[in-house]
Amino acid sequence: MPMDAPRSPSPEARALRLAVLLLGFWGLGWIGREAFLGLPGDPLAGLDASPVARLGAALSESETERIARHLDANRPGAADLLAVLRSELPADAALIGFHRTADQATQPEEAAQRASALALLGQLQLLLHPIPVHPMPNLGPDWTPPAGIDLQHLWALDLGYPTPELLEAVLEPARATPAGTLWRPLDPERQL
Amino acid sequence: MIALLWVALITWLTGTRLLTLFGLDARDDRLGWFGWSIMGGSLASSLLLFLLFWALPGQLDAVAVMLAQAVVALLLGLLARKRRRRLVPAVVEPSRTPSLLFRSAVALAIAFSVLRILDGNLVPALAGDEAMLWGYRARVIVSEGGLGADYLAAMASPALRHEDYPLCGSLLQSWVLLLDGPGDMVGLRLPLQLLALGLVTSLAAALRRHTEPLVGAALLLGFAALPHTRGALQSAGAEAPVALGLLVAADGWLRFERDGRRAWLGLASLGMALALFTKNDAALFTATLAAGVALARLFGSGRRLPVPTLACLALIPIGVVALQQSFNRWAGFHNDLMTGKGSGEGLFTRLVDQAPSYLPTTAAFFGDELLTHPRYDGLVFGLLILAGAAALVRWASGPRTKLDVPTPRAGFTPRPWQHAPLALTSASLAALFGLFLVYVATPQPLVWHLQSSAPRVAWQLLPLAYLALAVHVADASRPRPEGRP
Repeated sequence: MPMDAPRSPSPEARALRLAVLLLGFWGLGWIGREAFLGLPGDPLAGLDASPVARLGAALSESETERIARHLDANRPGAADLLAVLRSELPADAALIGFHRTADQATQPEEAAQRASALALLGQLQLLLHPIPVHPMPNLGPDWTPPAGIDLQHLWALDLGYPTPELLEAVLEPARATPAGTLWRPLDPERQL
Repeated sequence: MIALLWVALITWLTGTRLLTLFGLDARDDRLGWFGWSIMGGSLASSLLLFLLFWALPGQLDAVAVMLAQAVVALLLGLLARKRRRRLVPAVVEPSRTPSLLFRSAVALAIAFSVLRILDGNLVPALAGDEAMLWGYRARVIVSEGGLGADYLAAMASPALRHEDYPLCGSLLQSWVLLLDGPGDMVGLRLPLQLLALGLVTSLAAALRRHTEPLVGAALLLGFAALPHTRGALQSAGAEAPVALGLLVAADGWLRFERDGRRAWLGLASLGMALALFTKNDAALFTATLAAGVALARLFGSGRRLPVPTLACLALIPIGVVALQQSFNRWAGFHNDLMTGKGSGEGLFTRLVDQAPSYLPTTAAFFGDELLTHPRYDGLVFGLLILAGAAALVRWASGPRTKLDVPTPRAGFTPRPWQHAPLALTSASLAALFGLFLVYVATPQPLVWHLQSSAPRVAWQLLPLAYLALAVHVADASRPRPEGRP
């Protein structure tokens, strides 16, 4: 055979090509499954599982509705709590969110409550920005507020802290919602 | 809505003009043009925002920023017009009309990506890195009026992490927040989602250029279906720009090797710059890509490099890194990985100290989750290792020509991209190995760090790996003259 006569691709080359073609079919299958059947663990509770079927919602739903659905999916009543926070908190406030510690949340129910409280505080950090939001699990006799926070501007959110009466030393209840209770600074006259 | 339209328009206008300035034209590759334009426009917009926010903190409002962007777009337009007149029509390869099958695959991949974007936006950006890292920082940039002293003070909050990370993603999000209002929890994803969509189209363009339509279609669909591709499309994370930048850098180099146009090197330098301005990981990835190309040219051959042009173009990514580092130095920001989270233990010291205890866990995680997990990458990393090994065996068992590439001196027409498989495979796998070493040297709790970031970070290499595999298939399937390996 002459030196420069072409030869067909090697078996390895054919195997590689076949593997790539199988990858294409595999991808096609996953695309169809995800688009029409949805995926397990989908966070969009209350909507159709199929992204194609919920396209209408994706094109029409308002941002407020999306935020409310997302907040409530994590912690029922959190959307209402957000509305309360937005109406009650002054611009110069600092918010501390009290929740159970890992030691206090030993039962599955308590652990789930704690996880949802932590997630809510993370969401509030963004939704209330630039009002600072501090997750703060521990409140005891030696508790001091985070550096730079004036007690006059300190508000607290009780998200399942086991002994909320400890807050009464510096705060008073403002509004209670199913997702948590908002405490405001004590009236300066009462503090005196 | 108007704010989002403005963001998309300015990104597009700036990007197309920038590409023209580099000597490219939409007719070079209409499919690639979309992604490249978004890439160039995002880079230019984020750099402009960076300079404005750093130089004039507290003095910028939405109108001032829009005016500055309009002026820049106008100036680039004038320069691009001048440049277009001077452009010599490019000698391009006879264009292959993409097959119906390939066009259908591209249409499906794009439609599916858009569906994922719309569907993902049903969930606001309130969790994960897109919100708590990049998005939170974007909110701070806007609330503190830029990147001045107030920004530095706010970044001291323990809620804000990784203050030294490159600013591109946060700046693009802050742009939307500035125009659309700080309450925006969905629209701020737009610039990053455009880049993710640009990644899908740029991969399609690269596959069409460098392999046969059937193989290109299969690889494109495989990539579009990946879970982490969904993550990139549905969030404002910073992975898509890095992946896009790397892919375009590799594609630009391959195109330069094919037709010798220097404009492709300009495209590659823009890709590298975007990646480097988005995440620190990109420093490792771009270094391995450059090393892979250098290695392949050492063992193979390639087009003669226009050294002065290359040096000028290298200034773009180098300049971007210098700018970010200057800002970090000015701000006193340090990198966790380099300083051991303030412990003072450097990366290499930890690598040596931790290797005995961390190697098995890291190796097991990489083996199980990244290399042999079909749903993660479609087994492309594994296929690439096999293809690379087969190519090496083929080369080693054959006559020791320079990787089968006839040199110009021998009087042959160069077929320069024959060393592309070696370059791209070694770059992808070396970057993956570099990432492996980074996890071995992590100052974070190892298992948490691996689980929370390794698959997402390694995904940034996948478009490059998909392209490398495509080039392997193209190279291995090409009929060869007898007597050559």
